[in-house]
Amino acid sequence: MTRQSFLRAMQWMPERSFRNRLRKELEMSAHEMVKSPAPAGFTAVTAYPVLPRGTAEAFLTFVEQAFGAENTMRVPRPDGSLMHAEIRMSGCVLECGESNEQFAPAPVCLHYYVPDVDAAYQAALKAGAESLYEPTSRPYGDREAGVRDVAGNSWFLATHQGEHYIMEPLRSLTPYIMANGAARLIEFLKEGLGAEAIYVGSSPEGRIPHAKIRIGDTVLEFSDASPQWPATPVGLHYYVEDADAACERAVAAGGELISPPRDQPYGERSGTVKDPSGNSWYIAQLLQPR
Amino acid sequence: MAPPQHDRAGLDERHLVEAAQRDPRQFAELYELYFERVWIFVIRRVADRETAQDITSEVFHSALRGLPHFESRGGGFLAWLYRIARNAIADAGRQRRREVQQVVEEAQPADRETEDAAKLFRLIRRLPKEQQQVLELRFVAEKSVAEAANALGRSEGAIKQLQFRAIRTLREQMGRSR
Repeated sequence: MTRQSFLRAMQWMPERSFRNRLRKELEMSAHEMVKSPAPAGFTAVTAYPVLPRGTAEAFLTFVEQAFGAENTMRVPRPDGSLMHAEIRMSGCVLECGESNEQFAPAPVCLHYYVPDVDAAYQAALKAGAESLYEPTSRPYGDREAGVRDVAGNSWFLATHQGEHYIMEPLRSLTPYIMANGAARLIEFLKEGLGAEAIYVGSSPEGRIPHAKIRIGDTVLEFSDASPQWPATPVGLHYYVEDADAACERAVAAGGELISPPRDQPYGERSGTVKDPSGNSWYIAQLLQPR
Repeated sequence: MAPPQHDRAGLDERHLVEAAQRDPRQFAELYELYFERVWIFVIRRVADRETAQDITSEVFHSALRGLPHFESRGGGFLAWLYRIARNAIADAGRQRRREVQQVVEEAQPADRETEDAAKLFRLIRRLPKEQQQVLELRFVAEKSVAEAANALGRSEGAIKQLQFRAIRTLREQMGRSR
């Protein structure tokens, strides 16, 4: 790009605030068109990494600089650490908070489809991520790379090599859960959370190397943990119509009730249930639309 | 480092459009892909930013409402967005008695200049926040270095340095075609 064309283009630069405002309006309009228990912009299940104390700032900067994400909400605790943040990236939502006495750090794995995995991988490294593996073409039709961000979350960056860069039925951003006892976990999700198994693979040794499970309107990915990818129990925010009924059902199916549903100061009624693999489900019902 | 490749958005839109037709919330992914191009298409053809914002909003709101009726034939989704934009610009021109019709007729979607600017604006979103703020103050709000320094509570030297770094990064990432 020449200096002249650069200067010419810069006259057209859009205001960030306008881009964000319009995104919000469209989220609200789209939300009115569907019946969903989740807030505008959200689907039923959202990954909720608990970042090690003191890493939130670096994490939020990382997702912005590596992936062009937008931090759309930020709620600090009185001590200045991050209680809650929301991030929009490629039309999807990611939430996070920082660890404290109540919440231990719990990084997540995220499967993130991008139009150009090689460029995204380079951008992630430049923004401070550590490489897990370089871009590689996989037999299942994805070109894929792995990085670990500054807060310990793993990102499987991928470009599907077919007609579309996102492999159906996934969206851009999908939580990928490594679990001890994936088969038992999937049974729990079906019985306790009303999940539907879209695909469950199996290996000769009886492991589940990969599974796609739909919960509400959200598809999540799972696999049995391995020495290379140990189990990482994660937090997941799950929106339902009736938090009490959903918690009850999850507990009846073998979930451990960590905290019973109660009205929270941020406009949700929510409780926490731990699944048999140790993942925490924040089962929430909106008390007022947002 | 090799310059970033041209993105493959055009190849991928059918999947995204069908997903958004099934679930309008997935329109968000189309918005993220196409905001810059629609914005550039519009701002190049209207007289001021306020009008560009009104029209860009109208384009995406109309597209979201009209999505169930969209059928991908001839040109695809982006061409459809441009068509909505072209009509909205013409309407605005008539309402505001501004002569834009001729420019609108000449509109050639997806030209090289639009693609380059769209890529540039996506790269800007990945710059450190302060650098983005400086670019916005200097190029959008057309503030002087002194005014930008005042707005951000920084020295003039710091503003110059932030602007210099931002532009250097962008030029590196855009590649240096001459």
